[in-house]
Amino acid sequence: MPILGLAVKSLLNRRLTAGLMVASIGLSVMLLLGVERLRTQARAGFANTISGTDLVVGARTGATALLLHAVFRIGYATNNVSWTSYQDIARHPRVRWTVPLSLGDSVRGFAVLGTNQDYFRHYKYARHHGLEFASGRPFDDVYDAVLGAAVAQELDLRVDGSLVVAHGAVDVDHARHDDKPFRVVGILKKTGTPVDRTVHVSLAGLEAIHIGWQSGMRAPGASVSADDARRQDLTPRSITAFLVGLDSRTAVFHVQRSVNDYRKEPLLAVIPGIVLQELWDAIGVAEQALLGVSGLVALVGLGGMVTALLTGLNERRREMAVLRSVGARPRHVLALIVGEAGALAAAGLALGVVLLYLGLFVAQSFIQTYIGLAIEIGLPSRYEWLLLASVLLASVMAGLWPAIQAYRYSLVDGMTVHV
Amino acid sequence: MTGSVIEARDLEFGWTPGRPLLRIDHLAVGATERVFVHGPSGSGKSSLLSLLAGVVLPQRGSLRVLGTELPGLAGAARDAFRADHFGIIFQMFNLVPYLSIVENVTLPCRFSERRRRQAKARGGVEAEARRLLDHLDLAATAQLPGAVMRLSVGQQQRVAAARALIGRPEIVLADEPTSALDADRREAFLRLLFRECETERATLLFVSHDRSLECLFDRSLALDDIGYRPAPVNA
Repeated sequence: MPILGLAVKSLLNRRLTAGLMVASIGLSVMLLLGVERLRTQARAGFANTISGTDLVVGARTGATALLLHAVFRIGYATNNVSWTSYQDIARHPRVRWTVPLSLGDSVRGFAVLGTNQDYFRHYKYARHHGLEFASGRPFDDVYDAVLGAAVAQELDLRVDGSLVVAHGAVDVDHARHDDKPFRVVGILKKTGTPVDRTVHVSLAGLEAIHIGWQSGMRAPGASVSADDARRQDLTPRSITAFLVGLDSRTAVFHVQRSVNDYRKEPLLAVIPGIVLQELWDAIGVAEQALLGVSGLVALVGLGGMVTALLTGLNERRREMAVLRSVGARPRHVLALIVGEAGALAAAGLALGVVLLYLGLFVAQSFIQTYIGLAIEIGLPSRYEWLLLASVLLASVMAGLWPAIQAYRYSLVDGMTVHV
Repeated sequence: MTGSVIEARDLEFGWTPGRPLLRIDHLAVGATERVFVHGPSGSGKSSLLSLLAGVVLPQRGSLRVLGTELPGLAGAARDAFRADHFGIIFQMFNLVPYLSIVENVTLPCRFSERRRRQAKARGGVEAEARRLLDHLDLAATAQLPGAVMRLSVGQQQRVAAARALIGRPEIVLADEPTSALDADRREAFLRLLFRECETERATLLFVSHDRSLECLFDRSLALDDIGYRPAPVNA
């Protein structure tokens, strides 16, 4: 086609408007791809948070609430599981391992998780990845702490550093366990899960710092020194929840029923995969809405392009007449405008993809640290290619409108335009 | 008349059926002739050019150009015929603003294989464009990048003339190309155009309402002589 070269030259001649059109298409494409990518990565990240755990058990509440609190540290537990019930269930013949979880305190906004060393053995994420230490070792002493990667990075703590646990989720002056500081003995490698934003201590450590505390307050005159606390019985009376691994997946429903029917205490056992699926089904609507909105933004970008092309058309009737006089056919005029729309869209798509990768590259560590979502920077997925192709197709289709208008002008005007 | 480049008989054209704007009983233009066509504005001068170039079709009559019956050709064939055999110069705004001077001159070669071949035979399309520009005293101007919109009207018209002549089309149609020029430049432009048409052995059909130029041409045709316009109702 002799005309496509002309389309590109025509655009280059109008660098400013063409640049603005490319920028608006580029930004909308970046938004579209960005939303799609965060959506799929968030979904994968969420699903990858827990793996290899057959059941999560806690006091009876909603299934989603239990999973969100025990695994994602979102929300609060309304009740605890007594230590005796926990031990009872841990002795079930089909149960291979359990990991107790005790939540409620925090260190400068990061959740403190009381657990035991089995946590480091049995907690798995993203297809059976185990926890690994970037430095140090699991806790051993009562006042040892192991930090998630993001905690260490944000609080600038290293092995042998010390930290003070605050009572409750909010770190305020009068509710700090500052008489019993913890020593950092280990820092975990990045996992892209809430583990990164968690401070791990032993159950005994949590017991020790709460000696002499009543209803969230330090009881007057009841303070016990850190060393005296070591000598007391530090077995917890209750925990928040626990993870259960079975000897075989086929036992899941059987054990789940026996926990749910447990007589001494109202308990709830949930299968993490099923609850995650339910959760996604629930928020899937919002997710689709977000994608829909960014699709609309892309349409607005294309609308701007069509407007600009249509507006410029009347000024270009003279140019069309000159082209007709040298032998251009009306369909050449059509191709010129469609070619311009296509070239603008292609440049916009390229810009959008570049902006997306730049954005991901810049935001990657920020998102990992503050949201706990690990973003992989990979090639566009098949669905993303499909989105890109749809935007290109849509812009060529949209370009047909001004193109048909120009076609009509050139049929009517022929070579004589009186402007 | 044999050897006619353009021959029209009983030609009738009008935008609304039954009300012809232009009627030509007989018109014949020979090869390399320089014909001046004049008439008051609205007498159908531009329509005549559009008819000859095959952009519009007559309602009636015969129009042979280079032995081809133009109205018998399909739209695409007429567009191709125009690209191959016509060079056209407008009154003003002849140039495509986003192309360089040389690209403007070589524009017809994008649409006509025949003219591309003929230009190539003379040492290449671009070289031929530069040669024509040089003949029209624009060699230095053509070197400037992106200068199309900075050219004076006279320079623009000369670029348009170079474009009309590239690839040796048989017929050059000029639609009042000098009306935006002052008297001195008008004649200088015409002399250049004549010289080039002569060199390229092109037939020139020059339309204007300015009869002071008439004497420079081989032959002059008043549109009232060859054409017909329905008289106003109150005349």
